[in-house]
Amino acid sequence: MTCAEMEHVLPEIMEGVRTADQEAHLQNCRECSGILADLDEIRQRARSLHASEEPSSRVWESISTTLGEWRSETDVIAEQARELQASEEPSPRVWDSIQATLNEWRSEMNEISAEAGVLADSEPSPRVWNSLEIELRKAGLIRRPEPPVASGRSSGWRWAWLAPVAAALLVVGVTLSQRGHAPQGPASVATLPMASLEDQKMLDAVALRAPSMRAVYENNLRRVNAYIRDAEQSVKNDPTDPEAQESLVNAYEQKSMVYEMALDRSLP
Amino acid sequence: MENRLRAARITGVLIIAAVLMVAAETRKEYHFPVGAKASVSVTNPYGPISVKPATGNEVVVTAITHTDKVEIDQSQSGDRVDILSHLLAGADSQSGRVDYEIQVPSDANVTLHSSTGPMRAEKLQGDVNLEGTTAVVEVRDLNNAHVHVRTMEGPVTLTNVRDAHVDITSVSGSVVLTDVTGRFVQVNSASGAIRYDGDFGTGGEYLLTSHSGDIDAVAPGYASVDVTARSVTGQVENDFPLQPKHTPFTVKVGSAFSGTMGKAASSVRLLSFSGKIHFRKR
Repeated sequence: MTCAEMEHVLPEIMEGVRTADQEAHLQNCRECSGILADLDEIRQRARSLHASEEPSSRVWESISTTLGEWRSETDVIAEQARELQASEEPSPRVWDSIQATLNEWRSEMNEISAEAGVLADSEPSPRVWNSLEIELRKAGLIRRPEPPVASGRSSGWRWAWLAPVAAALLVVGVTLSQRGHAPQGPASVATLPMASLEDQKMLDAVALRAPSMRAVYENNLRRVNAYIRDAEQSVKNDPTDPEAQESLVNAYEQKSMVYEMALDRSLP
Repeated sequence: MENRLRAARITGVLIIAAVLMVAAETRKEYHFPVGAKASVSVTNPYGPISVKPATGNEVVVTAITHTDKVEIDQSQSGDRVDILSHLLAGADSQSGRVDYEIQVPSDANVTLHSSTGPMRAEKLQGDVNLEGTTAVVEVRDLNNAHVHVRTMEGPVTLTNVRDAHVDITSVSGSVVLTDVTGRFVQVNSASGAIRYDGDFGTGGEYLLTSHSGDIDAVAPGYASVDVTARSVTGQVENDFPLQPKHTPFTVKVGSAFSGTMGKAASSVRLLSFSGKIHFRKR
């Protein structure tokens, strides 16, 4: 595995998925392992933010700009790597150029890390986490898993007509059985707070096991997150109110339940 | 004429499909002799589970599978019986479905897991633990039991559950309790509606909380309760003449009330953030 190939799979590696080749490359390449360590540090710092005021738009713009620049840098590296692949014997100039770019990249990472450090004195709201998540997604640092590849065509084509017929029967059956049992709650679930990075990971794990359940978990997580947000606000308004505290405990119990269900491998 | 032929053809196809579906069904029955207070656990990702009391000291499990994409794993260790629908590669909510009918000694402790359900338990006296994602949950005619239900969006219905310890957590499913009494009855919901219809018994603690769902508590005039209701941003209504009582919070008309009825034998707390709360007279 080359550094260029590694660059393409960094987002997956960030999610913790590594092949033996990737692991071997990371063992032997200080540059790539250093970059990965920097990215991990940024993630760790971002997670450890606890305080009370939303960071200024300047900070977000700075992070966004830095991430954009970093993206450009990786494109340059990828281009140079392609050149390298095309040439049989790369010139020292190419190597120097790659080395210089990697150094710049590392420096950019340090800047981002410093920006994240600035946030350590402020308290991120769910909206802030959401913004951070959006930026990380834009930068390609976190990704949803690829949808599973469809299986090949069945050899029993002569019975293919059974599939739509059975499907129709099932749809009718399911519709009838579910009539009157529609889940409660506001229709505008999409307006509720977005899932955090941790929630996103959990949702991705659910989607891997049972793709159809992802939406169910996501909608309910949004509801629970809204509950937590309001309960926290109530406690903040009156820290001595025992019922506000009880609501907060209940809200967290709900979140805990959703996570436990998601991690219960005996159920889809 | 052409239409009639077409209709006949479609009917034929539907009949054949139905016959093929029925033909794929396999029915299995398992018997497990057990002693007093046995534990029975059933994990069925897809499909219904129904539990009823058995006549003797025996657990009888009837399982109907619809395809060969799922197997029944069963084991017994002393008085503990475990049943698991083992999904094979490629199984989904249709092909992996198993229909269970279980009979247990009435004092058995029962634990059921099903994602899609429905799950039903009736006429038991042991502890009942039910957990499902979208599964409909129905529990009825239980005495002196501990009922623990956790669902994400499946609706939960408890009917005629007496002297029980009830603990229900549901994110968005509705919860309906009819004639449910006990030392401790708690419902914790995020957005699902909660309805309680009963007299709240005596000496019990009832806590119904929802973040955005409405709470409707219906009680007869003879109910003996110490009741507190609060909704942070929603409306609160009360049909009963309550004796006022001291509260640790400021009572705002229309968003909270607190007071006692009769000898205040049971404590009732109805809490919501944005849902409407109505303490209604039956």
